[in-house]
Amino acid sequence: MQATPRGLVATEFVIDGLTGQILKIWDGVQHADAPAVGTGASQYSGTVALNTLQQGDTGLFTLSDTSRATLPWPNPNGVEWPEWAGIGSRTVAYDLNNWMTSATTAYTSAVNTWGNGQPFAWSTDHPANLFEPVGQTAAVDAHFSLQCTWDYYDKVLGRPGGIDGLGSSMISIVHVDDGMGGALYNAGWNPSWFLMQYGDGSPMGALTTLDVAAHEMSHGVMSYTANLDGSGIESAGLNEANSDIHATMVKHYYWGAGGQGGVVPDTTTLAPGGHNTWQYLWSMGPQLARDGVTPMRWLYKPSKDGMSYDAWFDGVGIEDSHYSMGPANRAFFFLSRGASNDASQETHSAYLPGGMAGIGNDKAIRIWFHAMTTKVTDIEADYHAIRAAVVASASELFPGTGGADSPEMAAAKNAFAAINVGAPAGGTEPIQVSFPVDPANPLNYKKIIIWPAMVSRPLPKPVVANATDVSVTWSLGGLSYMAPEGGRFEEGEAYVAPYVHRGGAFPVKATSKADPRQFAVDLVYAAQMDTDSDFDTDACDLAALAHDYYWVWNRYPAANIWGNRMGCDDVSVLMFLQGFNNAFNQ
Amino acid sequence: MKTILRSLSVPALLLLTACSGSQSGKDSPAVASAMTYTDPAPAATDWKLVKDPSSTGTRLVLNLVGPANGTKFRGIGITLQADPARVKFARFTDGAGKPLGYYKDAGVFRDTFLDTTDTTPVDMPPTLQAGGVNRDKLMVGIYQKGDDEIFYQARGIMGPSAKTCDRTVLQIALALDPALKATAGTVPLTILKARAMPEHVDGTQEGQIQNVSVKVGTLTLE
Repeated sequence: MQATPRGLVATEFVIDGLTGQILKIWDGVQHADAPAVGTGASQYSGTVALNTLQQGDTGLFTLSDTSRATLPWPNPNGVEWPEWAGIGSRTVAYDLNNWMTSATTAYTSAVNTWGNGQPFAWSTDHPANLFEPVGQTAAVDAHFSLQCTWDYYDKVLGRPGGIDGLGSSMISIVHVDDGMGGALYNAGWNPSWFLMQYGDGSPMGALTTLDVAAHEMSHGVMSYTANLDGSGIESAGLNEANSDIHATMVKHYYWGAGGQGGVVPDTTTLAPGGHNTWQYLWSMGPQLARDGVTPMRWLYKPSKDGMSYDAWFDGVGIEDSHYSMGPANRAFFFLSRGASNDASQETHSAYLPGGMAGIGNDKAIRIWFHAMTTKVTDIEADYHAIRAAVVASASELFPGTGGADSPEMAAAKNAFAAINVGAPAGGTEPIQVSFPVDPANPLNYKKIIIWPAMVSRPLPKPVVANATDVSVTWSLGGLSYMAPEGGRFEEGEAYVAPYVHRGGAFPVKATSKADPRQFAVDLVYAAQMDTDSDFDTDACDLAALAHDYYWVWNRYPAANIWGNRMGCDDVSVLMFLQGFNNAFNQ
Repeated sequence: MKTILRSLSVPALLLLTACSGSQSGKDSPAVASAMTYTDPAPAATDWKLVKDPSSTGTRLVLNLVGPANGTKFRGIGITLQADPARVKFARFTDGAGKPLGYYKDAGVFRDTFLDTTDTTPVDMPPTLQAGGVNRDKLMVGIYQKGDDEIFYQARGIMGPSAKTCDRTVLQIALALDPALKATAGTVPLTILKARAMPEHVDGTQEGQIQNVSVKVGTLTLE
């Protein structure tokens, strides 16, 4: 037994009795896995300290952090991946195709130093250099970012147990491909597998920056708190905004306070490249751009991306959640930093022209997180419900006196008023234009109307609240994500969506005459229901749909000359019947 | 002025015009108060619309009946045109008088043993059905959904089978609406489109969706 850099070793031998040759040698001590601290050369955060684990049997280190997570990875699907079975968050490489269906391999190191800080170039590094230092670098960033985010939730927001609040381990998988053998240009939290996935497809390679990782882990925390989900449509965007908001706070916490203490500062000194401006801090993913500063999203002015919205309107939830999130991001910015009364500034809101004072990051995030963990009870909560929750949270954490709003409560009201949700502090409710909900609509967003293409449809009846003049003007378009062109108005207030072979969505917009800032957008899903191509939609078109059901397992490979809906399914039928009945059976 | 015949004076022309207008008013057709229907005389290969005994003087129920020759089908759809200024396509009602759809399924194409969601391949009924009105056109259709042979065989049951249609396949209805003040006389009923799915749906010429002949009788308002 002897002392070595690895501790005590009891060396045992098997020796040939005739020749004296050592036939076998091993360490007879049963070593336990031991926590350690390694050093990583990250791509986005410089040289970082990494909590690792030294395996007792091999002596190798893995990127497994047992200092934070204390319970095993939940293994929600019961798969047999031994390298994921331990305690502590882990970072592993993804070394086969097809997204989540194949095996992963844990990174190991004999010396506990990781990565080389260089970007992973998919075209030349994959798969040859997957386990070389350049391949480890993405794991370094993912692991470090996860540690930072975990500590932020623990030290600032009082949630020491990570995503589920219980301390369950999570997995970060890097070098995830796009399912077709290419680099994935995305990252994600996968609730079904309790893990995060990172691709290499950004202009700078791996999407493992601190803000992206914090965004994804915050999706995980959200799924175990308010659990805003996609079925409520607006709630999907609010979920995304929640992740951007926490990601922004994590950056302030690490670049401003070095990850120490329990307060989120309002300024930073440690941002990479010296980019300590508020514009840089309040943007998402600038490190992924080649110029290092152009982000994918701007929280203070979401519309700078040309797709997102700065303010709420009825119908904003139709958009992709990464665009409908914009108003919530902006509301939180206003809550923290205030809004300008100078219309020429990007922090000005036409819905709160006098501007407002912010309450700072620390108060703002505490109010927001308290709302998400204690006030939001509906997973389909919309913007107005979130406003109510945030105001209630502010009232609870920073109560007013004598029936008056506290400054924090007033700021919460003003921040949402500045994105056109609710009244400002001491003010009146704005005019609100909205369209009715169709509860029988089979689509998630129940204001989208399925209608046969090229069949005239009566315009919907908008509700104009808080106004004496309830008249509206109509226009086409109104959504940046959808094609604004197409369709036409007819006499008698009817609207015709154009012919589209596979269907398409076409918006119409009703704007209040009393306040042109107020409008609502309705969407016609124009279904191409003329399956027999006679330029008419009728019940005989069902024949081609029904006919398609006989085309299973290639039993009838000959062409169906009547139908152009080959391969239809029950969704096709539901869409057909909904559109048919909307148009002809009301 | 010398002429071979006497010219009509201006007052005489005005009189003729006035008399013409007066003549028209005297001959206005009477407003109809009842409707009758004479069944068609189809060939054995034709489909037909025949009067159902439940019809009344103001509500005509027509049965869509398939060919008498026993040909099997998996569904039929039609588009029927009628003058909406004179008759209305009518809905059926449930036992409590609640309006239902513009057609009534007689159940020919439904294999009742398949009519539960746990035995159909997915959560759709075994027939696809639609009925509605677009201005002067009534559009109805009922088609078998088809079968997934492997699905059914795995459960030891048969898929939907084609049916002979020499009986009522579906019903439609027309109504005489007093508010229309329809004039008496014949009301054309025109089949604009009729398309059936044959027994063997195989994409060959014989197995394609077919145009079929639907004979319509004579509707008269009295």
